[in-house]
Amino acid sequence: MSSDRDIGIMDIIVNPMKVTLKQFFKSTFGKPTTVMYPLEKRAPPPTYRGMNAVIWDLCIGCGICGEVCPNKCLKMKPTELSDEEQDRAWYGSHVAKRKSKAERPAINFGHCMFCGFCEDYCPTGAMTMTDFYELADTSREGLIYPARSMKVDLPELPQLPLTNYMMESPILNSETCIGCSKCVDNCPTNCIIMDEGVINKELKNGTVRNVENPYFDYTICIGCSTCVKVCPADCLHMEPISNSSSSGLTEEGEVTEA
Amino acid sequence: MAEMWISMGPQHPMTHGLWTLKVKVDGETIVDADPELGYLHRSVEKMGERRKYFMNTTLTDRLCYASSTTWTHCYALSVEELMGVEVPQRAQYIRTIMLELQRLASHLMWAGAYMPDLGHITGALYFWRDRELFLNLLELPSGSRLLYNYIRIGGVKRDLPDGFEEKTERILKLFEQRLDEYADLFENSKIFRMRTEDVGNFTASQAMNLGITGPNLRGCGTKFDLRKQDSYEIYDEIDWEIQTREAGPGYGDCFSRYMVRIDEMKESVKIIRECFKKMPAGPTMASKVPIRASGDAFRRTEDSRGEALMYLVGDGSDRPYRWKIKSPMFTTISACPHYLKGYKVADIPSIMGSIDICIGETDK
Repeated sequence: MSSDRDIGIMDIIVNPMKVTLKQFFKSTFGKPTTVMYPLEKRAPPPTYRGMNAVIWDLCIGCGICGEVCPNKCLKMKPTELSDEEQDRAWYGSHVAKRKSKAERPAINFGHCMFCGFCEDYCPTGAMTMTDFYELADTSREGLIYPARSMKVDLPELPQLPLTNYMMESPILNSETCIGCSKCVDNCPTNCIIMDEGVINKELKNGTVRNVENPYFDYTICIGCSTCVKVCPADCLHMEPISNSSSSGLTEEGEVTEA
Repeated sequence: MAEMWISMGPQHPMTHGLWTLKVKVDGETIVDADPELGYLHRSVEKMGERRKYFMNTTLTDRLCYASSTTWTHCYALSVEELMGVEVPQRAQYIRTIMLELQRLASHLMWAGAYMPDLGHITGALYFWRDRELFLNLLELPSGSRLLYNYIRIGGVKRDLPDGFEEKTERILKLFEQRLDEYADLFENSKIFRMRTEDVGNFTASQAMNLGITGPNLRGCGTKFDLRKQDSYEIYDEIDWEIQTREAGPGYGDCFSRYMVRIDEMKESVKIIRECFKKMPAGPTMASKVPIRASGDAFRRTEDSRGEALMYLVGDGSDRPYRWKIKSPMFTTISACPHYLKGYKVADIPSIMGSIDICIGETDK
């Protein structure tokens, strides 16, 4: 190995000088290694994880982005949608013919670490990350970006399938279900319908009433667990997809027509 | 002459992070040393127990700012063992490429930080200039320059972008020329060798007793590398050699540790080239990744600095019940009284710099 031999005059002066002179000429007359930042900027790659932007027409307000955010800097904020926005909403017009859930994400960029989980786990592809990175502000409040400031519109909307990245879907314990249908009201993809349940309850006046149970269409369930959170009777829990599809609670054809 | 304690740190050019080295000196000679850690403790293990399994890859990225992919990979491997996830072949190749690119960047970061310790600030500029090449490469698929969050449980975030192989090959070719320049600048430099040769010696048996692993152990001549001994990903399918130093003058000293890292960089270049040649097509993510797990699992990997080990206990929920991180640098820094004794105070930056300290992973 070269390092084991004796060091001569070539090694001490000539060879290092050659390298130094080469670099000297290269950086003096050639292209510099560094970039003069405010004047010129290096182009970030297309995959760059910068400031978030939300395609409102694709957003269904499911809140998965806030769920997977490790820093909890992303919150779903109730937002008033104009009639035009409501019409353009991809979910409303294409999936279930229902009004879009009026909640959109707002981000505190003072806490955000740009990990990109919100982008990766978004079931509709509404959450995107741009290559904008100059977010410095003079106050902490200035770093809190309200929902509307991150809205972007695309001229043409991609027709994306709903993807369950959470790999889980809700399972019902029909014994404890009280048939309140809160899950149906809050489901962002409208994959739940209420139908005849297993329990018949006797009311005070003697009549017998059937307690309706929710049925899930697992083909469009995105695993956001909103139904589990709003359930007042704790009769829902999340299970891995393989378990739920084999449970036999719901047949696919039965619900998709709803 | 009277003995006295000198405190170096927590803010000191030698420390490379926040920690204190107390040395007991007799004149100029070191009699005893006492490392003091804990200034950078962020309770990563406890934080991880409150987050879901997949979220913790952001925490493991931040364990070591110079080598974040290797730590995330160690975590991903142990979670995959816990959950019984099979990683697709192509993802394993991509992972190996990213790990070796990260190892190159990490060793260059170390070399760049080591040179100012020896009063050679030009060295820092040369090495960091080349580290930039690899950061640019790592940025292409992951989208970030420092904290990549690219390796995920069950595979990698996305496939390599178009033209990645050509770009890598171009940079590797340039880097090989640069390695020859380093030989002229440092290996054959009288000043560099006077500062590093026969300084900070420890023998292989001493290192093994003290739990020192990684390039520091291989610098003593021990052929121990977890990529061979406890192989993971596709390292066993690829033709490469463990780099060690042969017995002789300058054996187990700072210079041999420097040379082992330089040789490892050459080996990493070889591994990356072979990976690109053998890489199959296919998916980059396992089809089914559960988010709940129970049982316990541990995996150890060859980090840029030594043996990284992660132990996980799951209780059936979506968060780990217990998460233990074993850092190679913690044991190496703890052993510093053994290899500092007998040397002069002026040798401390040279010795402590040569073991490649990273306090982020040490204090966790």
